[in-house]
Amino acid sequence: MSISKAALGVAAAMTLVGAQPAVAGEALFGYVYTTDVMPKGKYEVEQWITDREGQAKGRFHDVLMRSEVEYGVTDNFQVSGYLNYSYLNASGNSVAGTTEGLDIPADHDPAKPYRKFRYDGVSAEAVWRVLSPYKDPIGLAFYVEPEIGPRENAVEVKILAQKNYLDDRLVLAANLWTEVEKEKVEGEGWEKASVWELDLGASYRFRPNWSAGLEFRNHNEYTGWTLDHSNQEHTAFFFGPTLHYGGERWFVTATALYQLHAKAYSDDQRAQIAHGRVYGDEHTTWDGLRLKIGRTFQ
Amino acid sequence: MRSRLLWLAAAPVALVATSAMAKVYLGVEQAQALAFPGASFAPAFRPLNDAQVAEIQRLSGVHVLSRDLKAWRVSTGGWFIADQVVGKHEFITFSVAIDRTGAVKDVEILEYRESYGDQVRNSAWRAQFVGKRNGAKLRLDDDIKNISGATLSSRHVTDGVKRLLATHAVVLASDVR
Repeated sequence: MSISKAALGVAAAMTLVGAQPAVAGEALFGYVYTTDVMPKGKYEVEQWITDREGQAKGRFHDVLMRSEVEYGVTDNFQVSGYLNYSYLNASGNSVAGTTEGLDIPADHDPAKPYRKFRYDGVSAEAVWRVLSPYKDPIGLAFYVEPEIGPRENAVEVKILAQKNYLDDRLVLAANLWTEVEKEKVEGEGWEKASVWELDLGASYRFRPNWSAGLEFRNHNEYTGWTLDHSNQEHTAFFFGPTLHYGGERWFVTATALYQLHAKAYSDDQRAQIAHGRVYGDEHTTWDGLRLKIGRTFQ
Repeated sequence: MRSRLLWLAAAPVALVATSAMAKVYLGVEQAQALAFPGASFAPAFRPLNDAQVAEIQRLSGVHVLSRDLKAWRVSTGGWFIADQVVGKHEFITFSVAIDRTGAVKDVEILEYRESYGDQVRNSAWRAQFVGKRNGAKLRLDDDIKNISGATLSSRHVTDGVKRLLATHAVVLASDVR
């Protein structure tokens, strides 16, 4: 599947959206989660397209796609299932100018470009909301997401908080999360890693259906499964705008996060730093450009 | 490649042309006839001044969304007010009928365009407002039952009724002919 075909697919989807008598939905942010969940018995289908764009040099387009179904088990408990797949197109992307690093198999010849469409795995998600931002002082929810795939198995746990102002038109959201993962390294077996991250978002509904805002991520990567600083590989900061359209049945959210700065804590990671940003196996300059399209069903 | 990505990011703009079609459940005249059968209605629209807005907000604790008050004087006594509150994505248009003593006679949802939460149209839920006066608590999970799964709409409509009762007290109650 080429990028142009993916773009055409999105264009077709957008044309269908335009053909609907009305539009609707959720996911106010590209990366930050709010505490909103599906009402009991309702479900929603979402398609995510995330381009992790640009590394230290050359060409790097890592287009991750996620097809999701969300279902409201109760008014405060939601479950989801994801299918994850991606298209990677890279050439001379690393700090050294070779084709290697993020999502590129270790056995690939670094002197040659890499281009592949692949299946990444399936994941599930459960969100339990304990406080609603519409009637309690804050919104509070807990999130868990196990993922199983041929190259990575992981469990992600998040605390989601939300505070609304101005008749709920201004939404502030914060997520604190951690992930433990086992990543397959060609020829070396499975490698343990862990992450903690703080995500912040602010979005304002500036006219009916339309919200615009900003998102911030601080991502921290560790070797092994303990979040001890002696095991920390790097910390990286991302920031960018987000635009959301939500109508009666459809929503679209577009977010562009730019890697502002990173700091490496090991020689191996320091070798992956260029222009103050960390690349290697973990990040891109635009990390990332995300489009979410969703449709709700009764 | 970059131009294509920018195109993807800009795709939501294409949705501007697809604004939702309003679900109009009741027209103003229909809602008036339901609240005050056989009465006639004289428009008494007026702008709210700064002092009135401040007093309404003080009494109700609710932000005044619009300074344009759309009120009708009822021939048999009382007032009919049409207004809007913020919904999940769009405004919810509703009306409050207030009898000659200042008590809520009827609340109707005129337009609702959200994917969920239209249970606020349920007559049993709206009936909770009947008889409420300015100064009533009008608080979810207190004197007004919350609708689980429609909390935002429930709260905003409840706040809207509270605000219009304060508006009646500040602006309309003294306007006696």
